[in-house]
Amino acid sequence: MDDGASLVKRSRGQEMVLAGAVLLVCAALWLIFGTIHDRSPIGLAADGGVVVLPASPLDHGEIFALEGPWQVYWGRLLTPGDLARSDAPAPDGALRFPGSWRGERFNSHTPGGPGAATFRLGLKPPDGNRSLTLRLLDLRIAYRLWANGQLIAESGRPGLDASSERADRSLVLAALETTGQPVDLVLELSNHQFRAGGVGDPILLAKTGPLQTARDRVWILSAFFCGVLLVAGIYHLLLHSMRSREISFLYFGIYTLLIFGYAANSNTTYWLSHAVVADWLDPALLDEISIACYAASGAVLFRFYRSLFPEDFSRRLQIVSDLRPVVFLLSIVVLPPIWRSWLVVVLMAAGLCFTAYFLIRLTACVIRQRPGAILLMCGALLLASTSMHDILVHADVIEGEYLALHGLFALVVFQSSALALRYARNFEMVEQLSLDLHRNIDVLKDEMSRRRELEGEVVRVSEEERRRVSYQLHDGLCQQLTAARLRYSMLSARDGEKGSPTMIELGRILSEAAEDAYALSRGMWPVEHDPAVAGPTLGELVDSAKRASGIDISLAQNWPCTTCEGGNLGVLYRIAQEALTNAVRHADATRISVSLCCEDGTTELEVEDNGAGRHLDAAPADTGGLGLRIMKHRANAIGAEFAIEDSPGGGTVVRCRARCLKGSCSGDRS
Amino acid sequence: MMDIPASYSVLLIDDHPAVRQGVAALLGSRGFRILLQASTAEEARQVLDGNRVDLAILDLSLEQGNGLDLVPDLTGHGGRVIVYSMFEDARTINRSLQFGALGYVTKRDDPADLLDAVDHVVNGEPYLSSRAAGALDEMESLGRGKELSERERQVLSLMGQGESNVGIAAALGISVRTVETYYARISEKLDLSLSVRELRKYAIRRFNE
Repeated sequence: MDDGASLVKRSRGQEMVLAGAVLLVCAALWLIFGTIHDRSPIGLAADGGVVVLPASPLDHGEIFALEGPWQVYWGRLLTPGDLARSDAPAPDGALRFPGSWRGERFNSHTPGGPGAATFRLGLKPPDGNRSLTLRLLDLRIAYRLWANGQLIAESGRPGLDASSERADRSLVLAALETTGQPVDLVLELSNHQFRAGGVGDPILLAKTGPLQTARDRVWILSAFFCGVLLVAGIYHLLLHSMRSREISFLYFGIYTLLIFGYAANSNTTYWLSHAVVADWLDPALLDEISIACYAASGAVLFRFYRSLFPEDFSRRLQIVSDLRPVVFLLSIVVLPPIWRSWLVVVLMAAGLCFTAYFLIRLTACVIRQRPGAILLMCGALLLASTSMHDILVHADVIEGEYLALHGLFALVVFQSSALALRYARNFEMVEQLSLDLHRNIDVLKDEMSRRRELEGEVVRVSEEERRRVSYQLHDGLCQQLTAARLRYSMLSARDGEKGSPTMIELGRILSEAAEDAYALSRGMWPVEHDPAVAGPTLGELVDSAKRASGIDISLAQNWPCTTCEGGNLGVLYRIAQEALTNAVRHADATRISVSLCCEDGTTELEVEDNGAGRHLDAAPADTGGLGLRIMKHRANAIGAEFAIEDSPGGGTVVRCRARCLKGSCSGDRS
Repeated sequence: MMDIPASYSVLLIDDHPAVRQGVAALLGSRGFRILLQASTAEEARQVLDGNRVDLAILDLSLEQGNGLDLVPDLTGHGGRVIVYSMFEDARTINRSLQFGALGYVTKRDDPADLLDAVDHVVNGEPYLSSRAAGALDEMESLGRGKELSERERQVLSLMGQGESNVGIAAALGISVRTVETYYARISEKLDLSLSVRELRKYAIRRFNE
C-alpha cells in the first residue's frame, strides 16, 4: 500500500504529465485554427482621397487595409446622391482607419465619443473585371456603405441621435464588382451608444475568397469552442445535480455556460448573431447578453477557485468579486448605453486585477501542493497572457488578432482537467478504501469461521473429555467399588465381624462412595456408554421430565444404526434437555413430543409442544434467553441448523438438524 | 441359606476381574463350588460349549459383545440368568426379562441383594432387586406398556415373519415412512430398544414363540 508521501509525489507527477498533455492539445488546436492569421493585411494609404489597388498582389490573394485617410463630413449622414449634388458640402477633415474620431479636429468640431459622420474614399482598382470583397468589422456602431451609389453593406441603422439610431456593429462581408473604373466609397457611420465612435478593426479588401475563408475559420472555431463549452457546462451541472456536495461542479458548469454566452457572440466573431440566429434575435440584445455573461463569469470563477481551495482564496474578496456582476446588471437597467460601454472598461480592468490575484493564489496552491493546482495555474496563466496580448493589440502596441477565445478555451480545458483529476483521485481513494474494507472483511470472515471451528472443537473436546471421565468413573471406579462392596459383604458375614461398628461404618462409606461415583458419572455424561444396550438415554430424559412435570411427553426415535457413531448425540441430547426444560417450564403445554430421526446422514431432533407459542413461552430474559443462546451455541458448535418456529397446531417447535459426522449409517435399514 | 449340590455350576460373566472375583468370593463363601468365569461373550460361549451351567450372573456391558445377546444362549443350555449390571433404567430391565433373564440386580444394590437373587433364582423363582423393581414400578405408574393397536400388531407380526420394510408397506398399503413410524411407536409401547434391528429380532422371537 502507498504511504501518504509517495501518493502525493506520484499524483503530482501525474498532474504534471496531464498539464503537459493538455498544453499540447491546446497548442495543436491553435495551430490548426491559427492559419487565419497567416497573412497580415497590406496597408493602403490614400493620395488625394484615392487609394490605388495594385493588381498583382490582389490577384495573389493578398489582403489590403483601406487605411485612408478617409474624407470626413462631420455631423452629417450623406448618401452618394447628396454628395453628387452641386451644392454638396465640402469635407470637414480626414481620418485614418482603424481609428476613433474622439479628440480629432474637423473644421471647428472636436467630437467626443458619440456622433455621426459620413466618410468618403476613392478607390482605383486594376484594369479588368474583378470580384472583390470588403470586410467591415467593429464599426461603431451602425453603418451603411455605398460603392458608386450602390448600397453594398448595412448594419443597424445610422442616425443623427440616439433615438433614430439602431445599433449593430456586426461583421459584414460586402461584395464589390470592379471594371477598372474608379470606385467612390461612401460610408455613413453613427455612434450614440459606444464610448468612442469610429472604426475598431481595419476595413479590409481582397479578391473574393480569402476573407470568406478567414471568416469561416473563425466561425468554425467558434462553433467548435461553443460546442465544447456547452457540453462541458451541461455535463458538470448534471454531475452536480447527482452529487450536490460537489459544489465546484456547479460553479464550473455555470462558468462554462457563461463563457459560452459570451463567446457565442463576442465582438470578434459575431458567430451566433450572424451564423446561427441571424434573422430572429435582436443583435443588440445578444450583445448585452454577451457582456452580461462576461461580467458574471469573473465572479463565478472566483467562487470556483475558492470551492476547490477554500483556505487559499479570501472570503472578503469573494464578496467584492460577487458585487461586480450585480453592479453591472444594475447599470444595464439604469444607465444609458454609452455609460455602459465605459463600465465595460472598468470591468475589464477589475478583471485584470482579479486575474493577477488568481495567479498569485494559484502559485501559492502549487507551492502547497494542492491537487489540481498545477493545471489550474496553467489555465490561468494562459488566459492572463492572451488577455495581456489582446490589451496590447487593442492599444496598437503590437499587431495581431484577438486571442481572448483561445485563452478562455485553454482555461476551460485546464479547469475541467483539474476537476477530472481531483475526481479521479477521490475515486481512487474510495476504491482503495473499499479494497481495504473487502480485505478486512475477508480476514474477519476467515477469523470468524476459524473461531467457530475452534469453538466447535472446544465443545467437542470438552464433551469428549466429560464422556471419557464419566466412562472412567462408570467403568472403573464404580466397578471397583462394586467389587469392594462384594468383598465387604463376604467379610461382614463372617462371624467375628458381624455387627461390629467398624464394619457397619465401612459398609456405609462404601455404599455412599458407590452412590457418589454413580451420580457423578451420570451427571457428566447422560448418555449410556454402551449404546448397544440401551441407546441414548433420551428415553430416560423424557421419562424423568414426564415424572417431574406430569405432562404427556411422547418420544419417537428412528434411526438405522445399531450404534450411533455420528458423534453429535451428546450435543443433541443436551439441546433436547434444554428444549424440554423450556417447554415444561414456560410454555404451559399439555403435550410435548420429542423425536430423533437419522436419515441419509442427517440427524434431526425435534421438540414440539402445544403450549402458548413463542411470544408467550419466551422465558424471562435472565434465564430463558440464556437457555436459548446455549442451544444455539451448541448447535453452532457442531455446525447444525437450529431453528425455533411456530408449531402448526399452536405452540413451538425446536428443530436441530446436524450432519452425521460419520457421513453414513453403519447399520442395516431392512 | 440352602444347600448347594456340589455339581451346581455358576458362570460369572463380567469384564471387570475385580467384580468377577468379588462375586466369586462371595458365592464361594456361600458354598458354591464350581465357579466358572468369563470376561467376554466369546469366552462365555466357549465355557458353555464344554460345561454345564446352572446359573449365570451376567454383566450387560462386556468389552466385546452385548451381554443381553448371551441370555438366550444361556437359557438355551438350561441355565438361569441373573443380570448384574450398572444399568438401572426400566427399559434395560424390561428387555433383560423379555430376553429370558430371571433375576435383575443393579451393581449399586447392596451385595446382599445379589445373594437373595441367587437364592431365588436357584429355585427357579424370579427376583428383582428393590432398585430394579422400583424402576419398573415407576414405569408402570406412568402408564407405560400400553396395548398395541391392531395395526401395530399386524406390523409386528409381518416383521416377525421376516418381511422387509417395503414388504410390510406393500402388504398393509401404507408408505415405508409410515411403517417406520409404526416401528418407533411399537418400540416405545413395548419399552424396547429404538434400534430397528433389535425390534426385528424381538418380533421374530415373539412370532416364533
